[in-house]
Parts: sequence; C-alpha cells; structure tokens
Amino acid sequence: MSGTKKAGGGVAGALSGWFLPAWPAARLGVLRFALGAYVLQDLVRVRRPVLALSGTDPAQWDPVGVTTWIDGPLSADAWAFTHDATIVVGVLFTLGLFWRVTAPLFAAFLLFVWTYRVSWQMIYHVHHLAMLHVLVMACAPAAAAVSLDATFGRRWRWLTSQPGGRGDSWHYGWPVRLLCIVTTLSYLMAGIAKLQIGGLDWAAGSNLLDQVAYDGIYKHVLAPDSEQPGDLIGFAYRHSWIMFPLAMGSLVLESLAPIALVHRRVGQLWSVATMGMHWGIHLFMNLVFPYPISGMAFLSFFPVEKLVPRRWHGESELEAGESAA
Amino acid sequence: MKASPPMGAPATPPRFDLARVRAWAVIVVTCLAVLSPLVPELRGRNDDSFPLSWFPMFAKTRPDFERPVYVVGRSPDGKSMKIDVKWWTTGGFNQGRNMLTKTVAAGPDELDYFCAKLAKQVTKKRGRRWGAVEQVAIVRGKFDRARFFGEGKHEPLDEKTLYSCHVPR
Repeated sequence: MSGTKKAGGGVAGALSGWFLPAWPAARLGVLRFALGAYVLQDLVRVRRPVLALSGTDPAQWDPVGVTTWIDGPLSADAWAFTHDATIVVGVLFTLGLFWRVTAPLFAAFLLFVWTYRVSWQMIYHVHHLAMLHVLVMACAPAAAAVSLDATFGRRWRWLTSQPGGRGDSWHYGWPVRLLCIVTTLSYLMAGIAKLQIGGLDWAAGSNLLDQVAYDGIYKHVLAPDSEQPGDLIGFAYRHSWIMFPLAMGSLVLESLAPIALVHRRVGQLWSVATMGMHWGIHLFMNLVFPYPISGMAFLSFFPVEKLVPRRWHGESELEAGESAA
Repeated sequence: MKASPPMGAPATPPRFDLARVRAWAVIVVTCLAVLSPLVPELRGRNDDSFPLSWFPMFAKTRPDFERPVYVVGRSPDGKSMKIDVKWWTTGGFNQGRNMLTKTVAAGPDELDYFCAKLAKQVTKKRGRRWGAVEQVAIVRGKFDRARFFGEGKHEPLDEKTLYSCHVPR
C-alpha cells in the first residue's frame, strides 16, 4: 500500500513498517463513515422484519456466539429497544462523535443485534466481515478526521478521538492495514473450507453447479413468492463447461486472497475481481452479499481520503513539525 | 496510554509506546480470532458461529437427489399451492427452511401446532385461489437437479406427505 514508511532497520523494522504504516487519518475517517453508513442502512432497511423476530416461536431459538450468554429470546420491547438503541449509537459512530464512548458501545450493541438475528436456526454469512470491520474500527482512533470530534471535539478531549493529530501517522495506518488483513483472511477461510471439504475436485465446477441448483430448488419450493432461483442456472446446466472457470476463479480468489496484501495495485485488482465474483453469485443464485457486492468490503484497499475535501484531512505530522520549527 | 500522536513527532512509532503495544495486540488477537475456526473445536456448538466463521457454504457435496421439506395448501380438485416461508418467519428463506426441518424433527406435537397456525392463516387469505384450499400439508419432495434446471421439469419425482391438517372454515 502507498505511504508505507519503514520504522528502523531489520526484520522487526520492516514488520513494523508494514503492519503500522503511516497513512492519513482521513482515510480511516472516510472508512469509518462509509462502514457506519452501510451498517445503518442495513439496520433501518430491515428494521420491521427484524423486530418481528420477537413473534417467532421460542422453540426455534438457537443461540450462537454472544447470545449463548442469555437465557432465551428477549421480550418484544427489550429487543426493539436494543435494536433501536443500536441505530442511535450507530449514528454517533458514523458521524464520529464522542468516539471513545460511542465506538465500543456501537460495536457491542451491533455484535449483539446481528448475533441475535442469526440465532434462529440459520447463521447467515452476510454480516460476518462487516462485523469484524466494526470491531477493528472500534479499537482504533477512527474519528480523528472526517468527524464531528475533529470539528467540535476540542472541549471534550476525554470523550473524543485524537482531534489533535490528523495527518499521516501509524496510529491511523494500522487499523486500515488490519481491515485489509481481516478481509483477505475471511476469503482465505472460505477457500480453505472448499479445499478441506471438496478437495481440488471442487475446482472442476460440478460441485458448485450442484450447490447453485440445490439453492434454486429450495427457493422454488419454499419461497415461491419471495425468492426466485437464479436466471442462469438452466443455462449452466445446458453449458456445464462454464462452471470450471467460475469455480476455479472463485477458488483462486479465495485461497490466494492474502496475495492482495503484497502490493497496493494487487490489492485493488483482487478487490475488483472479488466484487465481480459476488456479482456472479448474484446472477447465478439470486443471492446478494451486500457488503462485498457494493464494494464496501474492499474500500480499505483504496486511497478513499481522496473522496473528501483536502481541508478535512488535517495537517500532516511533517507539516506540523515544520510549522512548529 | 498515549492517546494521540504529538504534533511534530516522526510518522514512525518510537520503540516503546503503550499505544504501539496496544495496536500490535489488536492485530495479533484479531488475526488469531479470524483464523480460529480452522480448529474444529473452536467453531462453536453449531459448527459455525458469528462473527467468526469458516464459511463452509457452497463447499459440501450434494446428494444425488434433493429432498426438501416444504408446505403446500391443497384444494379438493387435487391442486396444490406452495406456501411461502414468509408465512412462518421474517428471517429469510434459509432460516424458514431450517425452522421447518427442526419442526419436522421435533415430532407430531410441534407439527400439529405449526400446521394449525398456517391453516388459520389460510382462512385469512382473500381470493378464490386460497378460498378453495381445504388442507395444509407438510411434504417432502424428491427432485433431480439436472431434470429440474436442464429440462425445466419442476414437478417432484416423488412427494410424501409428512403431516397434514384441515383448514378451519
């Protein structure tokens, strides 16, 4: 990635320079805003059906992760309060206000809400990566720029996130690097699962075609009004050769995902290709993973600070040093 | 803990800095956590969890035939209409599928409760289509994937009724 500066010499210095690169606070700030906005739209968009979960037969309760710590489903009021409180704290997270309090609070609320949503007999894999990104972001000074803390927070320093330094610094580089690492590791895990279960034969494509058709048949019989099998499944059965490059491509993108970390351009190329894979999944299975398909999952691979006016970036440490001298 | 990089400080971290140690700790813990589902014992009680997962979807080998459990409404003339998962869950079709499978596995009492609930919903539906439905049935179909998509033949090879109940009119 660009802007990486090595700290000292030797392996330790090289590692430190790579894991803790000096990148602008504005990049982390833009990523925080984008991630917060993405999560908020999800929470608001599906609010009504999600709140209706409280009407589900309690016998279907099947807790996972943090929801195993509670005795059973919440009451309708408690669930609605928790969900809506998450939206409120999410607004503060997105705007970067009182970061030291709102960031961990939002991460905790969201972890509970999204876990609660998948605690009813089905663990959807839609929010795993976005949740990990929120958890990383909550551990970082992500409201030092492009935030209300940076603009108005000087009076309440103990509540805010480093409104003093907004330039390039390792303080703002490591969280972005970690977002990239988490993204690639998640895809690596999916690749390993395919190799572990299906072996290299998975790349032949017949298993993938079976999976696509299985999903289509279940949609046909179980969700005739609300879901449709993908339009291209019939085409794939008539031209099954097409599944080999698709399966091989998916396996390569997933299993070799960490290669995206070696260079900025490779990371961007991998991001675009992986987003394309998700569009392919959408076309074949009518299945949408909104976080990657929208490109939001891959923003950390790009210099997104260029999207906001220069005056929001704050002065760089070099400039600050020069002005101090 | 050092809260912010001081103005004019070098962009690279000093050797001993609590904020730096904290950054390293978050990096190491996060990476280990994301990779932890590689160990089967750490995958959670459902062999999967949230927000950590080994993303096993699309990986497993499918059997020769698909045998989904689904719900139909039947009218006296022998016609049947599939009942959408939205009738019993707001959580999406995969969640609805697993709920139905669990209900079937739970036995007749659960099935009776589930079926009666759907039958009651049929009575609230307007229109001739649903007005003719006299029975709700939970069935297991047998489908051949290639036949279904390659030849476009969507009817099941076989359909077995697991449980049925009458619509109270």
